[in-house]
Amino acid sequence: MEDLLTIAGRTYKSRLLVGTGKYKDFEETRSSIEASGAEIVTVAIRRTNIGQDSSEPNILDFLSPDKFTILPNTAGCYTAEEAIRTCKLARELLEGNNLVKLEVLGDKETLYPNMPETLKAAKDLVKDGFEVMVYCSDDPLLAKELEGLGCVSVMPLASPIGSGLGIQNPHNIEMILSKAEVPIIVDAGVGTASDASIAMELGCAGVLMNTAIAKAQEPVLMAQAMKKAIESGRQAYLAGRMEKKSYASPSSPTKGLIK
Amino acid sequence: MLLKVNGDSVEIDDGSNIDELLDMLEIPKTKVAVELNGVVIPNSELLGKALKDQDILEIVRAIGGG
Repeated sequence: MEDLLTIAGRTYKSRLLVGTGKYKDFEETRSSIEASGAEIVTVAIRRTNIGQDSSEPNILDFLSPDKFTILPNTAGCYTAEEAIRTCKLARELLEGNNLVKLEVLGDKETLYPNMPETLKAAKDLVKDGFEVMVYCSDDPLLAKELEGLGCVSVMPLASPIGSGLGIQNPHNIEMILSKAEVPIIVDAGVGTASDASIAMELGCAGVLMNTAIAKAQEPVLMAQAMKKAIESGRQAYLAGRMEKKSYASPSSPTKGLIK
Repeated sequence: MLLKVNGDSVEIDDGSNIDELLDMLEIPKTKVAVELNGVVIPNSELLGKALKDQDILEIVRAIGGG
């Protein structure tokens, strides 16, 4: 049976979700995303530059909503109100698409989520018909609370956004996973392929990353590596790892040795 | 009349609508969304929406982000 990721009733073959920020240009964005195999891509919502060249390409010309699930984020929002306004604008921008990545930040230095505002926004957005994928701290109780509010995916950070420090508290991610009934996607902090594999081996439904690919020396090559890391981590999780032991256990038979 | 668009003051003829504002500012009319005085305008009503003096608008688009 095919192993698919299901979010808000839609199914995806890829468990790698990618951001579109920090790339050199749209061409590098497109080639990296193609190499990653991602089907869900995030975008930010920002003011249009007044007086800009109206023929200037738009990111949605490069990433067609017909081909990708476009996941607008609320990055840069520090209050529930700002995040809700951004989601409502995104819904009109994307012709009624209700799927959003909610992200309410706490401060500029850590970019940690402001959880009281995140909870407030999640509640109002779900009530307004949005399908909310929510960036959050790795607190198991708050993750469960967000699920209870009706979020379609809960996305705890591995470590601070853009830090590349990998999964700093795998035990919390495990605790979140043990209680979860919606897909848990590690969002933010992944630095290299092994970090992505670890998230998948823990049992996460997917990983969302941006900087790890965009700021690699060779983004397309890193995108390929991440695709494989996600797939191998997932297979290892499904295969069920061997039990860890404190002492050695020989791999060759101990009987029939020559004397 | 005077509008506030994305934080900047913009002068436009009385009786203009959003279609005319976007033309004047050379902003593409697709893949944008507009908030008028704190209320997001449904796509279907966007271009014909009438404007009045002192209206505050936010016009947004999608850009790269994570």
